[in-house]
Amino acid sequence: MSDAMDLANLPLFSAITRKMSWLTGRQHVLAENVANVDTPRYKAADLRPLDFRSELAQIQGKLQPAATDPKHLGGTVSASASREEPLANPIERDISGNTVSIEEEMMKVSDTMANYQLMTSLYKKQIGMIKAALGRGGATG
Amino acid sequence: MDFDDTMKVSTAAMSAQTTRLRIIAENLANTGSTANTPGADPYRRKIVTFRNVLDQQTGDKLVKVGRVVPDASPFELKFIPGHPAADANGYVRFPNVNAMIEMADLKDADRSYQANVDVIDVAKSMLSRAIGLLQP
Repeated sequence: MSDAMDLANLPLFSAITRKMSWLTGRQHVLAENVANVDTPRYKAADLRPLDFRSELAQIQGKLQPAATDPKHLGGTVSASASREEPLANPIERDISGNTVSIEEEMMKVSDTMANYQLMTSLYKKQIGMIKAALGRGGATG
Repeated sequence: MDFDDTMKVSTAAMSAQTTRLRIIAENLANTGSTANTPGADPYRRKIVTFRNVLDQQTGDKLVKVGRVVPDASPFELKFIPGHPAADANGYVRFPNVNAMIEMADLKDADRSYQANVDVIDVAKSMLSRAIGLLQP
């Protein structure tokens, strides 16, 4: 199971992957906010900021149920470990009770995009460094 | 929670805004639609309502158009005695459509639509970055 060459075993790659999946989830929540900009009583939400240390502690501290039969399933780690919660102090609130500020949401969308680009670039750079170490010429852009 | 779901949410919102646009067009088109029998009601302005629907399969919070409700505000009265819809005192009831309000509503729908298009653009661009990781 534990393959030495599995990139996911490297802490940095694992962190990058988690961050990317968090950013994907956040993009989804922001899309919901933008979509509901005219829905009465809709409360704008955002994901809780990703704290890698606590994420890691959560995964490592999880107890696995004992499998006494080959048919027992171990269960899967939920992909959406990040929780969605309403904004504590929204910038604006209109007369219908809607708390979505379109400007703020677009700022967050572009921020998410920039972070995602940063993660993919980091990933590529790391792969390039590993290739260089393997001696196959790491001169990949 | 992937990019497909994100685009689904934005697309639902875009189609809701499109319906809103259609109702605005109906209102604007009927600005002068009076009745043709004496004392009858003219065209009544319509208002679109939005509601939030949870997609049971994916858990997405989608936007759907709720009921299209009539605007209860009073009609405008104009004194035109010769009009076929004029009542006993010579007053004709005109639709309660205000072109200014409709145009402002139109701009708002446009802005919301644009925001959703932008979100789809960003989601697509993020997806292509992820696919780009495959390239050596």
